[in-house]
Amino acid sequence: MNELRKENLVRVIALGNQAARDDGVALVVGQAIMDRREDVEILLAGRPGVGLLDLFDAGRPTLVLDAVRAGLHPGESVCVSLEQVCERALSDRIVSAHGVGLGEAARLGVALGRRLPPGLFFGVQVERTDPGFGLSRALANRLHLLIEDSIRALVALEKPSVCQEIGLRPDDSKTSV
Amino acid sequence: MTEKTYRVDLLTRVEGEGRFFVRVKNGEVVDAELSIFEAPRFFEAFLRGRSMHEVVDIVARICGICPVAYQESASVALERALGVSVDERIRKLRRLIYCGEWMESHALHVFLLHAPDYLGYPDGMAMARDHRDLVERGLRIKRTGNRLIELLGGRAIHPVSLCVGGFSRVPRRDDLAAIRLELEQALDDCVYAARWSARLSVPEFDPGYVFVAADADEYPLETTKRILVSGREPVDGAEWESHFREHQVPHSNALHCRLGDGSPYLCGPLARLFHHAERLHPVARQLLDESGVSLPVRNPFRSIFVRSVELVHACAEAMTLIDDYSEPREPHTSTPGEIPTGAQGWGATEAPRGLLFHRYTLDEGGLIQDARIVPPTSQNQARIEADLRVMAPNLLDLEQDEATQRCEQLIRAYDPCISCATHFLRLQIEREDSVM
Repeated sequence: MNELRKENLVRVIALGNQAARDDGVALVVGQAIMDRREDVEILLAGRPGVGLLDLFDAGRPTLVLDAVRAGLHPGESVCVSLEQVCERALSDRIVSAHGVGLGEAARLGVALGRRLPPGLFFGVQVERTDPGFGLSRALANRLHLLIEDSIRALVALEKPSVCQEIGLRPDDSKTSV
Repeated sequence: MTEKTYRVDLLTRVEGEGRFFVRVKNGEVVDAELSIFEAPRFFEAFLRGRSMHEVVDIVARICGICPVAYQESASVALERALGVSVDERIRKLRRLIYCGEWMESHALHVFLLHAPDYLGYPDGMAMARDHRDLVERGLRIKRTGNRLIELLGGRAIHPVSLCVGGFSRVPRRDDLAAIRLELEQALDDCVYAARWSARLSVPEFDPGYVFVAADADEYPLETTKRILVSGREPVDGAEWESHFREHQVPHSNALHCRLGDGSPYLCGPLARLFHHAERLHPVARQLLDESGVSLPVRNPFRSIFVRSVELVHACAEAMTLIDDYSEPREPHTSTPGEIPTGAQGWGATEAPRGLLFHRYTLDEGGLIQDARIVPPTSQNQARIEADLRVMAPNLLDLEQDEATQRCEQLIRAYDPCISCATHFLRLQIEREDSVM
């Protein structure tokens, strides 16, 4: 894949920790997308902390995958625009350097005057996050659906009209968030 | 009777979860506790029975900020147990990736976690709005450190190429050209950090430390001959238990570590500088000399400056190591086929936060029989509490918020790493309109 073409691809950033069971679900989903879609750039980023800012390219549509605690049933997913997710992330202070996630990194980016890329956030409700490998049964049972739904989000990003149909605003890159 | 209590139930801008509590009655400190309530992680227990070749990758998971420190302390300990010596070029490569770790860790702490205390902001994000240039410099240094780790270790967080005996692969000389250029640019930011932090106003404070650091011919990083203890004879790591004592306290899930006589001690940047100031890279030494900060630095509030000097050291040293780099013949030294029963080895390196001690005992099949890991924050906990006790009487004239903030600033001066294994993005989601 040449660099010129790569620049036009949707970027998928998968966050999480494989050694903390369900916390690694986004990495599993990201890997599955990688196996199915060669025309997408997938970054299995793990836990980059503030380094997440370096992975954002304001000019490229981006899908961020992560594990969440959002009051859903384990294995259910949520998809919102990146702008919305940054507005909704609860923590308003950097509690721990380890805990610098999407919301904190994005807010730091705002403070520094950086623009967030146009894009979507796809989050999966976790059940178990104790140390160990492998997803909980609840997530493992829904994995195929999660992969399909995340690919739908990806397709929506590639075709902004689909986003509009489902009420998302991934192309709202003019607004600094 | 007057009684004052200073407490923060969730310490911010440190790695992991902890709280502190200080109570002063009639001018006397009655309680001073740093509680680490993060759940125990049992790494030493689940290393038992694992192959020695798995150790390096497992211990990397203890910390996302300083995995190289864990990997290198484990490697040195296991190599000592096996009687393996690594090629000098491998040792230098280990030093090089360690420089990357110091850069990313120190930059995060100096610019985002500790600087807000000195500039009067609640956090790095609030500070970034008014001090963009400062934060951008910190992020650039951190990025360069991460890239150096990624280049040598395969990835920036929890690198995968380190192993007992060396690396699974090593870079070619040409591979290092791009990062050399980045380091050159980062050095400018590190020098700025040293000059900027030297000018920060700090409260007077000298609690009288015993400084503990690795003993090495260079500014200590990736190896230790012995362990230096100020005012005492150097300690052979094989006799750790004769000189250091780990013990449980009711209010913390992390063990406290003290000297054999029960007194607390300090490890980390101030201790390294105390023992090794003359071994700093010439560029870092020059900045130290021109700063006007006199040696030895005994004030923990000056640690932000000492870390910045170490940033200069790590960056300049990395450039020198790259300039001198020649590819090792083999990426790693092979481990022996036969292992004597009960083979035991210790290793200690200088993690960004201080001395990191490991010791392993092996069976004849190369499985771990026993593991001991003593992280720097565990060693510094008792010292932090002692500092709070020393400082508390001086807080009585301050407003409550200011006094509490001063305690937090002091604790953050240690850059405590209460490592955690999970992360979450907590979202306020209304299910009806957001589920796809």
